[in-house]
Amino acid sequence: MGLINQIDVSVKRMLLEDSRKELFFKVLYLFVLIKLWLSWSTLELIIEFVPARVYSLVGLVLHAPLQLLNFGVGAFVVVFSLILLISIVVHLNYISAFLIFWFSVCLSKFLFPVLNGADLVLNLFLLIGLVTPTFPVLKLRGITEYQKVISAFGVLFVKVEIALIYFLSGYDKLITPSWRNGNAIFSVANLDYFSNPNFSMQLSGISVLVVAWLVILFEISFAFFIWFKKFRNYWLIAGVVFHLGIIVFMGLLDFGLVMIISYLIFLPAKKLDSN
Amino acid sequence: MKLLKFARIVALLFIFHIVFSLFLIVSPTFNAGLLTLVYRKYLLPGPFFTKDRIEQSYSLLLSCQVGNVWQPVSQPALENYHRLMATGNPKAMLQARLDRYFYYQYVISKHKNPNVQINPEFEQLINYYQNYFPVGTDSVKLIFVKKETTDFAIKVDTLYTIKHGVD
Repeated sequence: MGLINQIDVSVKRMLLEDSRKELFFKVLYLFVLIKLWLSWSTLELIIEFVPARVYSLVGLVLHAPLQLLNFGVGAFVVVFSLILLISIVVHLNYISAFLIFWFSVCLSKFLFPVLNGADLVLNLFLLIGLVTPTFPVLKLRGITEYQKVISAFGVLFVKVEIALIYFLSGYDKLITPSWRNGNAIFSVANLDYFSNPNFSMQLSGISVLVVAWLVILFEISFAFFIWFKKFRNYWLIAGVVFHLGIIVFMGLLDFGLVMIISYLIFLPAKKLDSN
Repeated sequence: MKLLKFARIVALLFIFHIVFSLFLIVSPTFNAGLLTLVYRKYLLPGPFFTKDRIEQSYSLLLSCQVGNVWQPVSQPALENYHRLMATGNPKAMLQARLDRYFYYQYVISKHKNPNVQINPEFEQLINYYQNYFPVGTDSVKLIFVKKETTDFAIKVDTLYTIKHGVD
């Protein structure tokens, strides 16, 4: 009974909490739009050099947007761009959320040779985005209130997923000896494809150990401290610095940007309005 | 009242999701078939910088013979990555990843079947890398290199060198 009461209180508090979900999803849509345009030439190369996948009948239906590629990469890019542009302009709604998720998953399926974790995270947010709109308002039999509850849970779901992503990443590092002794940072610094040649650094034994433990502690602590208003801003700032570091030193532009964009969901609406 | 019940059910499902996710995080080897597979792939993305990914990497070095002269060795994927870091152009990032994809496909296929040198993955690789061959290339030399960084030491090995005639 105590748990039920606790849930009731939490649900009510959650429904009252204001969040900038509209801003979060629209920035996410803008990110997808830029990614789409930048991927244009890569899509053409993939069509030219990677053997086409053979889909079953169900697969064909699920990946129907990819049929546009039969008319050229441009057809897919133009249609998806229009959907994204319209979605950015209009109110967050179920139809555009669904179309964007559908097209984005199809794009990811097609761009698989160049995908990384950013795309998984992006598509997860877009999936949750299916339930977060409250428009069009369904006035049938008081469904409106249900829409609000589901939407509020959707926003909470995004926040929980961000926390879980950090916790998973931090915990995995914590149980890995090469992260605990700093060798992982040494490895990253010596990976040809993940180390910026403009910042050639010789890291000492102590410095790699310090950096490794800072990363582990940041990732694990983020999952907890982000839930406390008192600490939230400090951890968000630390997160932005952390991901900017990944972008600058490792060149993981898309991953860093998706994670930084995700922080928008933690910003309260009032704070942004006062700016 | 119905709404409250609904909210409670969703909240309980939510709690289940968090508890199950935490369980999967602290039990990385736990496997219950499709459920854990879907959960790990779609609902719990990561971890991203796992040991095997950062301690081992592969490179492809390319040398082209034009006329009777072998050109200096180049690394198209690395050059594209460096272009990204120098200019910030995200297209270079995607290009570098695609360059790497093709030779990784070959390395994986060669690992599975070490005795076969020319396979569909190799044909695909040559086909794609033709973009990097200078005009008049007669032959190419592909040098596959493995780099390992364990225990604060770097070990670089040439896996195989393949000389291939270009039509």
